[in-house]
Amino acid sequence: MIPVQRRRLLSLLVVLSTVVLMSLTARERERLTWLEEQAVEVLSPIQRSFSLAASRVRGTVQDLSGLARAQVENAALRRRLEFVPQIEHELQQLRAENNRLRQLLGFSESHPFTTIAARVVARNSDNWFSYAVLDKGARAGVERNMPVVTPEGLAGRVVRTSADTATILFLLDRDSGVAVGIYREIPGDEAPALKSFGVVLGQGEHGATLRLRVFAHDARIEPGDRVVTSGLGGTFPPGILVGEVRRVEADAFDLVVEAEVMPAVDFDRITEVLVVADPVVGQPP
Amino acid sequence: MRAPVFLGMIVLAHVVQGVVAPHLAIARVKPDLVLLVTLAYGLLYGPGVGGRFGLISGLLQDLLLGRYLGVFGLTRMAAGYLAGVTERRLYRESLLILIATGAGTSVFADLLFMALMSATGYPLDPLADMGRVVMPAALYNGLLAPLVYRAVYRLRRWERTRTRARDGEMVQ
Repeated sequence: MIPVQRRRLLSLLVVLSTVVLMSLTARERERLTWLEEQAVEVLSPIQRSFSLAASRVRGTVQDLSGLARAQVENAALRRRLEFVPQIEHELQQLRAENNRLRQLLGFSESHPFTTIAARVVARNSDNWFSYAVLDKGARAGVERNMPVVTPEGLAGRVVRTSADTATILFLLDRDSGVAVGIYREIPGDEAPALKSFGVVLGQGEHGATLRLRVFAHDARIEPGDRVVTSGLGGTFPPGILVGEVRRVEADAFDLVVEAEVMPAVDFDRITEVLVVADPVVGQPP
Repeated sequence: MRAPVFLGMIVLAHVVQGVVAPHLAIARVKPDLVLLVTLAYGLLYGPGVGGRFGLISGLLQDLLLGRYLGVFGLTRMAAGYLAGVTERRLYRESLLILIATGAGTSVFADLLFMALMSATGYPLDPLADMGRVVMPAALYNGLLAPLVYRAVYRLRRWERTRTRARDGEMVQ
């Protein structure tokens, strides 16, 4: 048995060394330790297979409950068929809107990104951070700080890689920050008008919204304005949709304009992402 | 208590937490199964084992996070130790006491987490976080605490039965 005094000293040493370790690793690092890399490499295949099994179980349960709903849905679908001409008209409008958005987002043919498709194999299991582990890593060409997008918009960026996995920090994480431009669509105008520049910050998973901070007290931000990456931060290419302004809040000191932004990406449903392998940062579109 | 079972429980708790907990999220709040297993170890084996279980499982979580290494290690260790200290003062067979202990441990771990993270400059909003994270998580963890405690209790009983059987074979 270890004497009580020695045990107390050992406990104190453990606490102190952990505090030192924590402060040393509070900032992002270029390289992971061997132990960290092994932890992710070993656990991710296990998590991937459990995750697959869990999704199959969920799928079976959904299939069974779906049978019960099928009859009701069938009747509803028959009613909807009567509205097909109207739906087709709406589809045409949506196609046109989609083309406009693609131009806005920079996903047009003239600015193609080289992307690496990856699957989310694990999510953060705690209630404080917001990140995910992908099934592609350095071996597939994924590098630190590469932007991560979904068809809806910007999801986050790669914060670390191992040989076969990459960890991405979602925009919701409080350590996340993106330089953005705020655009407004004006009826009759071809392109949306740039209203101001700002920074979008994460507020944690629970808020599910982002915080927009514009350092110009006279900026006229309105609900409905689109928030798009400006390319000025040096990490994200310009023109990727981040979200939409939901509410503008007055600053008590009238120094900055703050707003709540609804992210374009539904972070609860992300299963596959694209890692932008050649982000060309620079001037906004 | 055998080391393989101890380490196996740590890995299993992490895998289950990583795979199942996100699907159990209610209003974006996930239950903390690793913390609940730590609590059960503290209550069943005392402060030393509870603290060790918390430290190792927390450090594993830190390694997966890759930032602020040690924050989960410290909070889990303190929670496991605290659970072990209260072990003799609690009537563990009471459902209500287990729920209250689970909720209390969850609040303690989250407040310690917030204190440590504040020291590193991590942006927290204490009042909002209490309402959005700490209290809902405490409620959720409290409700699940009796289930996890029973599972670990049964594991301990199985482990003891096996040990006795093996010792009996060796005597013969």
